[in-house]
Amino acid sequence: MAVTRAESIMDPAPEQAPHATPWDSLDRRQVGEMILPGALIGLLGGMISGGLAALGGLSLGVTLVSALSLGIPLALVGATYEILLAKGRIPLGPLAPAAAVWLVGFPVSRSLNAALTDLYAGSSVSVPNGWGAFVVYQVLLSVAFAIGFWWLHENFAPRWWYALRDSNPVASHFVRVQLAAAASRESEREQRDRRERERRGGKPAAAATGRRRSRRRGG
Amino acid sequence: MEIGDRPSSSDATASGATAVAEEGRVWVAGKLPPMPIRKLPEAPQAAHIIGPAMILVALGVGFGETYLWPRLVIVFGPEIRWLFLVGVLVQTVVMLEMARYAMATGESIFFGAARVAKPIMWFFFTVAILVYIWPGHISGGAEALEELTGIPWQLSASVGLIVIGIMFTVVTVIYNLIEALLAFLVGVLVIGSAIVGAIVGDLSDLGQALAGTVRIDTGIPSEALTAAFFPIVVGALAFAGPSGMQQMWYTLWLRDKGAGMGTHIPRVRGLLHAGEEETIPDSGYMFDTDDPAEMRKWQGWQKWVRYDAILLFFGTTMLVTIIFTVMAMNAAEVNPDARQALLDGDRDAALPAMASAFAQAASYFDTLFFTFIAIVGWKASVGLFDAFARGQSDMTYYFMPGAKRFKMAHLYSMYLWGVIIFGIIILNFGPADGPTQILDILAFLSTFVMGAYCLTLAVVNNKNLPKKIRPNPVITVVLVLGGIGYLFALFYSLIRFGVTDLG
Repeated sequence: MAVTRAESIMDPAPEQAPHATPWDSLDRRQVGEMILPGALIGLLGGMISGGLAALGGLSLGVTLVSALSLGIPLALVGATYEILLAKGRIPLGPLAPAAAVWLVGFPVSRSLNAALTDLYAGSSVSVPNGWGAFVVYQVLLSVAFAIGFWWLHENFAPRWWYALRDSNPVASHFVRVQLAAAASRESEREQRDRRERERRGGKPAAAATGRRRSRRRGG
Repeated sequence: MEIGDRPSSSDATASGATAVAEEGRVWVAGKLPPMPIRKLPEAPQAAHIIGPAMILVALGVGFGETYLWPRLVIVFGPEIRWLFLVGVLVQTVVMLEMARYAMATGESIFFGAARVAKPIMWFFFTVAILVYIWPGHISGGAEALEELTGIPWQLSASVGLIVIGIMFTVVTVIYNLIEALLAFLVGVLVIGSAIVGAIVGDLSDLGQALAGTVRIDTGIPSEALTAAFFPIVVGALAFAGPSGMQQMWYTLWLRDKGAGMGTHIPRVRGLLHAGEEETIPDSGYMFDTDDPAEMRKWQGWQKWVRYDAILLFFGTTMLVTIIFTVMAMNAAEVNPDARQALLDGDRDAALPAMASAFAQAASYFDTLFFTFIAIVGWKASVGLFDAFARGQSDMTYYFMPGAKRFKMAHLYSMYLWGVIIFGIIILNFGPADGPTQILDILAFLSTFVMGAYCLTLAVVNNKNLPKKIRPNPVITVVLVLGGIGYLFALFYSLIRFGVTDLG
């Protein structure tokens, strides 16, 4: 069957990844390749924070502390997400696992960021209303961050895996899982259509019904 | 409703027909060429496969969210934000209905309007030229960039326009480029908003912003109903989510994405790849709505676009704007003078007053404000130039006599480079937003067109589509009320206050 443009453009990604992945066969370089997308997206958050501080005319020291104290923890959490994914501990695709990871990771990263910035700057500007309200607020904001993280990850990590597919077993596994899931769904659809046709007594599904009238001429 | 073979020209005047999926069967809608019946492709199963709503988010989260609404929040407090919610909800319904027509037929809403009456389509064609040839969006962003870097705004804006033109000329399939570019920018926008919100806001601000968004019982403050502010409220309402003709262009992006019957229509290519263009059909297509298998696929497409509209468009727009509200509240608390200046009606001082308010709230707030305005200006230009060229070339190709001698890529490039060259001339030698004398008219038309497309869409979907896939009456009522709402607010502002300056 010919593949239509829509099908070729919008190859569905799987909702669930199988639990077993060839994670154990990876060497150090390959592990580094797998954690790169999540770590980079996390680092992006730190760059935004540092960029704001720099553009706002804050000192080089505060800028660096602001960028690194947020960027490094966020990158580590992003890398953790990738490792969980690569080990098959969390499924590929849905937002919920990413949200769960950041529900913990984001408040912790922001707390570290606030504490270190306050320590360096010698004031408590980062948490003027106390730590309790601060942490609750960061937990709420973690959902927003998780959506942005997941968004970028879903759009760009599969392209990275595709580029690595010949040299990295887990990346190759993810690409195969996505293709297999697409094929499986196609097969399910065909079976469902066949069952539907059989249920209708073998009549062609395209039969016109009701008050529609045909005014075919010729042919 | 009638079933028909490919009819004679007189048959084609009969409105409405559906047919089984056989060669030669057609769906007749209006006086334009009937739509051949073709198979609907399968919808993507995974809901998280993104659709062109992302482009609407990228365009929609712009001037209104970063400037108009924060200004209203500074003046009236977060209680006025429920109006924003109403505006975005209406836009979400409009988006779903635009998608209904585009996915069912593969045609743009302009083609759909022409099926009802060609003058409606020519009205939109004319308004697009009047409103969108002015490079105001990129000049606004470039001015913000000048504040940050000192680079003269005429230079950065002109270079920005040329970069956009080259990008859309050399690329094979334009949609793929715009999707990847804007997907990245939207991701950065969401992450950036979350980081900024996490740094500058607090729990109490967030609570008030959320409460203000949903508490309709707070009503509209009496100051908002004055000559100084009512037109601004109307403008802000029109700028809640995608403004002007952006929703209409969404149908063209859906088609290039290959959503629904759009898969049967060739995609727009860059000028350097015009030779690879496939043959463009005379009209869109229709699927067999009597076939349960086809209807199952249709439900799949609707599910896909609902995800696109509700989570991606509605969710992301609300998320980003909540953050801006929190920022504005912070600024208003710290700088009551800015609020007073805005209340006094000094609109020209609005931008500096807001920047000043932001600067006092935190040392980098004004920088952040200008950074966002600069990004918003450039990304809006990327999307709007593509959209303008896409819409105008579509209408020209199908409805301007003799235009079919050209390839769609040629027409697209003609409009794209036309608007870019005009833009560069205006940026350097004229008023970027348009001649001052007609500024009010342009703002008026931009809002008027939103009311007009709501009503047009209600008619198009109820008249041009087979009964089984028409919108339900409640949706039609929302569209009609939305259209009347935009037009009523606009004309009330004009008649009661004699003001159409909505910004």
